[in-house]
Amino acid sequence: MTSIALVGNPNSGKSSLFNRLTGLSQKIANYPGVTVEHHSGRLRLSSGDLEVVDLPGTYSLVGRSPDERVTSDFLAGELKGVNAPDAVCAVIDACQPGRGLFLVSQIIDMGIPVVVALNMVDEAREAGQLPDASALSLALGGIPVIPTVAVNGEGIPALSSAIAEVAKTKVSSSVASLWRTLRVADAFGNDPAETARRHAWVRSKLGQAKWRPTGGHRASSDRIDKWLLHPALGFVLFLIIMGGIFQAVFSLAAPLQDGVEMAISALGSACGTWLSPGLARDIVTQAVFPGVGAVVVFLPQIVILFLLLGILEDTGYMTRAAFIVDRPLRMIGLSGRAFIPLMSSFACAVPGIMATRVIEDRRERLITILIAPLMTCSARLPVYTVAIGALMPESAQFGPFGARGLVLLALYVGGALTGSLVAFVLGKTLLKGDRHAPIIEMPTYRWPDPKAVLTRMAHRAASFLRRAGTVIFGVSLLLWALSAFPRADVAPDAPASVTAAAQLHGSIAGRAGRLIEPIVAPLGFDWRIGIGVLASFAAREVFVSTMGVVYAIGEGETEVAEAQLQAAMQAAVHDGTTRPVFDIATLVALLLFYMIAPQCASTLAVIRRESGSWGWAALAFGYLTVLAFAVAWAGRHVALWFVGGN
Amino acid sequence: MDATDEIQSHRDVMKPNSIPLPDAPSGRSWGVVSVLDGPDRGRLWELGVLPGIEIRVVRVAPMGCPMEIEIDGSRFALRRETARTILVATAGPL
Repeated sequence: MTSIALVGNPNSGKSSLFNRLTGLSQKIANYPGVTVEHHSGRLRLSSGDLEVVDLPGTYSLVGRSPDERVTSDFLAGELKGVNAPDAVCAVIDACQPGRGLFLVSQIIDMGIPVVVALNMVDEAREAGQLPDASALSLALGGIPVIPTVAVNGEGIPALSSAIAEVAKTKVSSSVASLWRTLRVADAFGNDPAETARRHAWVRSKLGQAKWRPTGGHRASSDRIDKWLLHPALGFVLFLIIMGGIFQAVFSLAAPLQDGVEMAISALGSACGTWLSPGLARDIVTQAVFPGVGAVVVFLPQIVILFLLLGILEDTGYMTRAAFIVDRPLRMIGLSGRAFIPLMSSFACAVPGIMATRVIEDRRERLITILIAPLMTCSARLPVYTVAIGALMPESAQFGPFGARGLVLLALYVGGALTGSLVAFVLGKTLLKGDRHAPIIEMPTYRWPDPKAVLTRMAHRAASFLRRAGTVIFGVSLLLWALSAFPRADVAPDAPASVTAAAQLHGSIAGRAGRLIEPIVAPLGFDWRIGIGVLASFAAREVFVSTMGVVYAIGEGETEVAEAQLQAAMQAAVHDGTTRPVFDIATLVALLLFYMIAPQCASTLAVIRRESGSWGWAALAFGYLTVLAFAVAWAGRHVALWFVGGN
Repeated sequence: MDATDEIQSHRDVMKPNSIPLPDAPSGRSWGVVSVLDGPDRGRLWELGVLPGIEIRVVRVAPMGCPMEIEIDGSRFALRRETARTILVATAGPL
């Protein structure tokens, strides 16, 4: 199929234009060997379909960052197994035509047929300009220039037919070789004279089109920035905005999550009643449905987080946020770019680690990936809730504050501080070296395009389901199998919860729990907690349901079940003694262990994928496990010293 | 080396009357004299930071870094050390 590449500066409205051209026929893929994702879709025309590929935004074809290199390699046909495009649609911001035309000059030099989409002409008009597209086309030697407004669809039909027309012209077969010659030339991107010549060319073309750009409409943006980037108030407003997002993510997601859980468990028991008792029913009701549930329960939070972050991104605020936090993050060896990935990791480390792709510097990206699991993700909350509930009554106060809330806050802060410390140490040791902070454009504020925001949200959620969902589901099935075999012999008339507890005790998982008991014993953990710790590799919250099975309460996160579980945990004693399992010191150790430990298979899988090697995933697993043990052990002994006992 | 020599060699690097952008008083535009070698030199050229172009510091983030600059109607955030590679003219035509 004939393929068209969309190329343009960052913030030129390229993605909105892509959505307009291809509708919903999009797919996301990675080229072999590169982590930069590309979106492709179909442009349906009466003359047949064209494939449209949306390439990462770039200022030039020199390829100064991994993203930009994908764009220039793709155009030159130098990506393995991918054909060079037949034509290029260059997207130019009508408010910043100079920078767009700079890129066009390089595309022309490559010899690929090109169509120019002069996008956001509405904003240029608002700023008092009337760019003459046909005069510019004439100045560019007849290259079609189509004025568009991607957000409302203006000019899209004209652009489609111009693309169809240009796609018919044959590409000279020498594009790649011409390009290689150009690239190896020392001057390309390395010589101010060469760059200055291009800028002069751009000025002369704009002159011929009688166009004197005045830049975008800055006045209203400047008024907003006066507050949002105010030296003192800016930081406060930043904290309020981010706090608001957090609050929204958790309060909006909670009812949805309850709904999802109820729906899944209702479906599961409905299926259970149709099937006759036996292994098949157990697989469906105890493995498949809980596995699916463990995945989709995270969706509401992640979708809401992506939606809110997407809106903020498209308004232009996230660039300001990076501007504000760059200096503080620099103290731990990171930059403003690490902010969104770390912020997302408070919902779930998987999308957070995937978001590190915006970080150009490889060392900084690796550090961010390695500390992302230390941000308190939502899967830890059920574990924290149960353990804190067993640790202190709801009425406990510390000064005017509820003690439970304070402990929870301390765990969030503790995770973030540990992450900062680790980032600092990694930056001074394993990943030391000069770090390069990129120059970031500060766009004018814009109303986000709902279609673009929703499409991106859907893609990110789908990507989460693919990456994390498959791992969580797979590990859930595996853990069920480990806890279901070998089958235990129990009296047929025993209550279901007793049967389940006996089954777990005798199963492979139960034996594994007893096998690792000597390892976790220094933390005060018994074999039951050992099973919980192992089981939480599916997702940390599985710890809670596993405890439910261990203590023969049955599963479920209803308040009754939670209260029963807390009572059972408080009554639990070490085998053959009267010593309680969940004393204060053990609970402290458990909380600190979960604050740090990498008990999440999907996070480790994503680290491998994004870093490109198992080595980094192994390092993450190793350092987090050792650190979790050390901190939990120290916490236990401090607690013992405070409350007395052994 | 006597004092005259030292001033001379200093001038060879700095060009007459040019100072790094962060040292130039803010609140007005300056003419770019040159961009010193650094990891971002090529990118700055592409964005139009070339001799003769007007440049302005719009604002500085809390704690002095990064800085927001304006060239040709566009705004960019860059770190102070990158801004230091941009030499601007302090007075009169060059």
